[in-house]
Amino acid sequence: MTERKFRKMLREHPDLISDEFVRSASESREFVKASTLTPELIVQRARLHLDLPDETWAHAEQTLTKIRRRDKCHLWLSSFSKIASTAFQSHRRLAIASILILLALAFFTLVPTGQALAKAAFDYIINIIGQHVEIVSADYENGDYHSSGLPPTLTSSADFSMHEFTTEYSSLEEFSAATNLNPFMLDDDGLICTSIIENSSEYSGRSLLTDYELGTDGILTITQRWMPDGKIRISGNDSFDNSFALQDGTIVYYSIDDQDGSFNAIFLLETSTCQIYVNKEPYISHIMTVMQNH
Amino acid sequence: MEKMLSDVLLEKLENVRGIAGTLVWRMDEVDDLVQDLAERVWRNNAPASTYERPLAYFSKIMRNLQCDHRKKEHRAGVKIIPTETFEAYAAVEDVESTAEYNRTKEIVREEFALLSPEMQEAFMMVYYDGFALEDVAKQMGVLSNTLSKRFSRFRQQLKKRLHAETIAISIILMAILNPR
Repeated sequence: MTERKFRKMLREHPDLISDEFVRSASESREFVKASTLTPELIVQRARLHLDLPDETWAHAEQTLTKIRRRDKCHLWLSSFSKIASTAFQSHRRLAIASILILLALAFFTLVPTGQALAKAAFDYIINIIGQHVEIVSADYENGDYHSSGLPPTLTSSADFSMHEFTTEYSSLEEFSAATNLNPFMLDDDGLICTSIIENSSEYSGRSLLTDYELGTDGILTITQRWMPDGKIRISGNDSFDNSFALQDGTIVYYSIDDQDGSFNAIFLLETSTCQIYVNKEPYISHIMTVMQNH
Repeated sequence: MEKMLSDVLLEKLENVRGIAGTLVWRMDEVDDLVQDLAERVWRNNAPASTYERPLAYFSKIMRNLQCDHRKKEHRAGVKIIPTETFEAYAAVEDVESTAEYNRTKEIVREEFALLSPEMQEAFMMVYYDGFALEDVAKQMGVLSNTLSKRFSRFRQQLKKRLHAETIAISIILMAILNPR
């Protein structure tokens, strides 16, 4: 006979061993439900029979208060569960739907997998909607732009300056002659200039992008900026940990990317800022020598 | 405020009443037994933390109280007729099963009587009151393994006896049903 079976047998028939027991535990639980003995009554009777210090009874009163509070809570919970079960039975569909919605919400907000799914769905919807959205400017709502299908005629310099212009030059000298600005030039036989493009706008000022080819697969890009207000500002996300000086004393700050080995340098000139980018590591030392001799 | 044993009794009154209900027949007796227990606990009140299984402790006290009470009644010659006993239930249901149940009870009690008084009390504490085997073994001054083995031997012996009894009854029944 296993321990479990034996215990079960004794639980159901405790009188098997001794006449001390008159009914099983489960029968007893049902039987004593009718009892009117409360904790208050026990304390009250014990106070009459026992001669104990007042602190004992004060302690007992505190316990009774706690028990009352607990019972109140149990009563509230049981009545709530009764109401909930009644409501569930009469509005079963609504309750099931609400539970399902709550579960879905919990899944999409609390579970990491759900969060990822929700994000993917959100991005997908935004992508679809985004492709059909038309942004209509209120300024042109009643103007010629929509009625004629042609862009409005620019009438003032202010309107003109809102736009960005791109101009391509064949040489840096041509740019210098056209703009009266001094571009930063590197003089080296190994550098083959491939494009010189100027971008200009009232907000971002002028910038000059000069691309060079270097050796078989090297690329060098010089970006020089002149701000519209004549001031010099410099900003960037990279941390330029190293530096060297040009011949005129200008300090060049640079960094070499750990990932792709590219070279990024930045330095200030009299009226402009200059950024230099070299795509591959083998050309960096050569370019730095060229710059130092500038 | 440190939690005392009396606090546990008041908080677990429903369970305590349930235990008392297994020991006495009438409701007023249940209430009296619980009241007696409460007064005894208050007299020797101690922090609840000193008792690992307060309900088992309450059960043991109530068993002892009831035992004393019965002894007193026996001495006084009082005879209380049970209103709701196992026997009463069984008798109403089936005479045959009542006889079988009584025979089983007889065997179990015979085997139980073979145990030493110390082992009998240990048995009651573990299987009825709900004390941990380790605690009872410690109280008896034996290893819990030893106590466990003793209980296991008792169960095996009981199983053997009940099995033999079943075979004997079956043979008698077969002989009655098939006289050839």
